[in-house]
Amino acid sequence: MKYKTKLGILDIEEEEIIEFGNGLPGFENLRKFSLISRTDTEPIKWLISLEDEKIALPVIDPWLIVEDYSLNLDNETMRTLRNPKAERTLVLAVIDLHSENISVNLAAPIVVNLDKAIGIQVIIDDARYSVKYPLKSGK
Amino acid sequence: MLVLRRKTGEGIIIGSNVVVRILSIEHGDVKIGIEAPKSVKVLREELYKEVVKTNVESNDFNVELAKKIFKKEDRNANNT
Repeated sequence: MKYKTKLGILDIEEEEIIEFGNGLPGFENLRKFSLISRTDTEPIKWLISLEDEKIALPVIDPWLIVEDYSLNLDNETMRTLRNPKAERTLVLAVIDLHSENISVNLAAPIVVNLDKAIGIQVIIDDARYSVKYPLKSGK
Repeated sequence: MLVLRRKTGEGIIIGSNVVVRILSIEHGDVKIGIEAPKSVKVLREELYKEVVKTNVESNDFNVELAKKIFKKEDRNANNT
């Protein structure tokens, strides 16, 4: 099915739709997203809303930013994600590209159960991981 | 909004399984103890608000930056 998105009109198959039951903080009313890869922006991918063509978030593999990144999903989160297998769990961090001061949100990773196509943005209260982890200094 | 007055050591019960207790009050800092099942998310309000703010800002992205940021770093890596 064709969707009008922030990255243009895209053909998204039903199985490519990721359901965020609680929406995302700031976009609580949006449920349906899809993860888009574009060769010209790799390794940055795009979590695009299929319900609001003004909403899309650039995301990146957090392990590209911090090699020893770790997160522990609590039981409630695992239930929400319907107990994903570790190897079928995708973790992404939102990258802030709105100015030259690029930062990555390591405190609120997006976690997806690839088998069930369910996602959630988890907030981890861990002093090691900032909402605005600066990209430059970490590299 | 319900507003209650509590003294140090006193608590309130929310629903059937959440207890919020005032542990100490010093110079405007209130230490609060929360007993809740693991399934109840407890977050500092400002942390949630920071995530909201960051998500909203990240939605206002510059695609050109996305195209060049990692390329630029690769080039820097080659120079050093």
